[in-house]
Amino acid sequence: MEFSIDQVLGMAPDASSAAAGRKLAAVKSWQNLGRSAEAIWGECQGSAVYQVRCSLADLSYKCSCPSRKFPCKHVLGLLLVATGTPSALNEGEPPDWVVEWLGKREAAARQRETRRANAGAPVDAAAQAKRAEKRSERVAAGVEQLQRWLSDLARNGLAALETQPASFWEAEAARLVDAQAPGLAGRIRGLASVPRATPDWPRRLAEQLGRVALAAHAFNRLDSIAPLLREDVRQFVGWTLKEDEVEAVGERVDDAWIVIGQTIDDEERIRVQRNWLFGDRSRRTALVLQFAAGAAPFAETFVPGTQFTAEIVYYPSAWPQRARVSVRRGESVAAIERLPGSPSCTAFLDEVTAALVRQPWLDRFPAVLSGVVPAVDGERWQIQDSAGGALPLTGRRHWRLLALSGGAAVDLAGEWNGESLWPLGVAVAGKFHAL
Amino acid sequence: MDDLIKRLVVGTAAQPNAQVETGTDVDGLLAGLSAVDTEQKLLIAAAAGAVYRQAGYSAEKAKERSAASPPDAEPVCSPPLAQLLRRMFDGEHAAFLGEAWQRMAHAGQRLPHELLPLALDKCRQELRPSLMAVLGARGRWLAGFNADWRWACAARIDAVEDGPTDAEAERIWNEGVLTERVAILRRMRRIDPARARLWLADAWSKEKADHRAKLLEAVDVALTAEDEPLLEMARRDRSAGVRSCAVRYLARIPGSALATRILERADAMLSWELPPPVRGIKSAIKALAGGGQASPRLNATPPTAIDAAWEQDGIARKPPQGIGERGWWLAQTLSCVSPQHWEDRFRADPTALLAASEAGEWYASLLEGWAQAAISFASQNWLAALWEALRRYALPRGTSREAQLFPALQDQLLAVLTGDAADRIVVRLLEGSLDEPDRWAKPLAALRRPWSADVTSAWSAALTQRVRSLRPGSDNDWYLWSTLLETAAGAMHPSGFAAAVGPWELATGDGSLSRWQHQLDKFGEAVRARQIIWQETANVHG
Repeated sequence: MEFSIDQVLGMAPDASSAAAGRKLAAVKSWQNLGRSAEAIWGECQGSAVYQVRCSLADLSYKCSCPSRKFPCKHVLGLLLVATGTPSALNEGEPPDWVVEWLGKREAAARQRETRRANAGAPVDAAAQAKRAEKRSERVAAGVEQLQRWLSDLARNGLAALETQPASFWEAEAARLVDAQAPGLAGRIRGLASVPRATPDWPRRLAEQLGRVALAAHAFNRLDSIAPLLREDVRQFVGWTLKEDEVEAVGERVDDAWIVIGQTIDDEERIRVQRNWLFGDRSRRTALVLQFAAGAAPFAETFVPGTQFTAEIVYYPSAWPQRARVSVRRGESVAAIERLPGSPSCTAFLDEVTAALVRQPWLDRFPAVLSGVVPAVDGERWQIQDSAGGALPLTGRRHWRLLALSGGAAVDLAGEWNGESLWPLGVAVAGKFHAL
Repeated sequence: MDDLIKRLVVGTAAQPNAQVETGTDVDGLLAGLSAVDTEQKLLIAAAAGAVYRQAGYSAEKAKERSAASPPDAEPVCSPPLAQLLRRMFDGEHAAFLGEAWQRMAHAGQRLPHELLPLALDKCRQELRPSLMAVLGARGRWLAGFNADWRWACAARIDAVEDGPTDAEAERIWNEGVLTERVAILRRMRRIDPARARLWLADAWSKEKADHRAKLLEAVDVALTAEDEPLLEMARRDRSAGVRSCAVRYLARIPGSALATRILERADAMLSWELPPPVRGIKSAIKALAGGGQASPRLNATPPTAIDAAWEQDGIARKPPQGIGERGWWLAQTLSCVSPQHWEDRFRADPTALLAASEAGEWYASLLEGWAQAAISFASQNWLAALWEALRRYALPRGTSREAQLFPALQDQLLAVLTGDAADRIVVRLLEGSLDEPDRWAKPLAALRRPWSADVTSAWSAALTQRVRSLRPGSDNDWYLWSTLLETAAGAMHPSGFAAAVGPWELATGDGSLSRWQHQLDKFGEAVRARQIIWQETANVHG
């Protein structure tokens, strides 16, 4: 457990949980604290005695309390004790309730492994093929209808869309959901916020509609597209791969992965967590998405600024980006000295170009830049490289980044949206700070 | 490409036969699209254009940037203190921020870089000087980039040592915001009073009334006879606030025209009456026997009418409720005279002067006037005697002016009292009635902070005794104690921290005293926060 207190508190779902967790950071709140090679545990006296355990391998956790916040204050308290007063946790045999939990997790992992091994052999190939064919037909019909709708918009002019209510876009999205093309539906729904949002909204709207039209066009001639790009089009339209399908066909990369940034979006009762990983040796980046309904916890714990050794598997793509963690090995550690990224803005932009050549629908790119200097001029923010190149930053308040840098070169991780960079983390003086 | 976007915005229905051309390499791709209608072609061309633009994005030119921050001279504060500060910015124990920063400055520590934006954002105006002492070179550098933080980039304005240069001072005086100008004026009063006077005299007519009042208050430092002309001008100001401030200051300049006038009036009101000399054998025997020995008397004879000149000197004609005209004029006049004057004139110490006036008709007004004067002239030797006299004063029943005013004056006297004298008063009160907080709660709260070790230990004894005696059903004084606990948490001397952090365990663990338990836990946590502040700043200069 080489975390900083900041990193533990960063896991808290909200400020009040963090404050409550801090109050449980005192050893006196705990009984039967302990640790083994796999886990840490302890019992905390609340309205009842709550049993709290946390796996060192992937920081997954479980607490017997009825709280609906994840992690709850007890888990945060246990992690804070382990971070602040490691001597309070004696090495020992885990109690039954820890052994049992670890056992269940192991069984689940084995089951996944088995499913993966059997992935190639569906139970009823014929029935599955029939279902797949039926869906293809429905999607094809949906896409054809979408193209007519798009043509109508272009015929009548996009200017007319300025005053359309959200329900206008929602109606078309709903038709696409019915046609089993949720990917396209999401794209159309997202367009509701484009008109009037920026002065150049007509161009943005035209380009976004264009991307949908391009995908629809590509979908109609899937057979003539390279196999990996075909996967990208299918994912754009809305086919999702099951975990075991990804495991079966995806590219696997074994590396020490640094969590360089994390964002959480609330999308209609579903929370989406986007974790950007950066491979220490491979210099590859990967996007791990997690979804959770309401206040439910995310399945895996990713702490920005920590590093874990794992084999990840990429979703098949002409430019693999999305991935899932397949096999974790060893503990998460906070061991970021620096982020060995692109040496200049131009070198990074070259990577973006290379990615777009392979996969034109990409719209977010992870950026890791070494030795850049943040600068502000009025309300305009930039990061500048040593060669005199610069990238604009998104937004107007990057004071923490500026304070940490002191106007000197730092290693920066961020997300590039094609026009500006959103800073996610910075490594300065051997320490990583999530932004 | 722009033409193409325009066509999409207008709609193809307006120009049905126009060709889809972009004048770029995209045209070649578009030509390859077969069996696709014009609208689709346009949309796909827009998408291709977007991808082209994104792929062709080239780095901006780096703008000229400011020099990097100079290195920090001070070491950063410890991680536990940094953690605590982070919590304080979130609102927990925020009342101790000023203390934390002062302790850090004292120990020669600075804030961690990553907390600087939070600190600058959350700093209340009155805490700015404390924050500026712990910003470090990085913090001052950072503040230069944000207009809201501009106050923090200059060197510490109000520190005499390490202050701004002359030119900077002049600039701040001419261009600064009001708080900065008050601070620089105050500083200038200390190092060059004449120049400060000149500044104020030159600017006087151009300032707004509320600014004039604020600036005049800064003249407080080092008043001398040379300030009289400026204050005389201010005494005739349009604004009542400025006038009363000027009068108060003039009264404090010995020998000023106003002080002389007031002194003449005051002298005319008080007279010293020695006991009649002993005449005749009978009386002498009586005196020797100790019966009915006459003591000196201080007689007050307030005027029965005042003229407009009094009013111009700041004496209000109309009394507030609960006091007669004559008593009111007496109290106001005395409040402007240094109590030292009466010691000199009547050759008696404060206790004797008070004793000599106790029997008189105007005693209440005398007490009021002298107390105000002792507070404003900070006459240390009067404060304790007055406090005792006010405490002993037999308040009339029911609501009266005295019942309202005297306890407040007592608190103010204690707050001005320096050294051990105030502590001795409070410790005596506490020890004499540990279990009667009504008697000492207010004086305790009025003491200067932090409390001395003696006061702290007397308080701790009172608290311990109360906690031990707590029984379900006997906790009606909970509200009084909760206020006391809150005060004490912020005021206790570090010597009392270890005992106060708890855990506080009440004898009855059944929850019937949960309000008390909650309050004690809160108290322990607050003390714990201060304990961290003191422990983590105890190095070097301690």
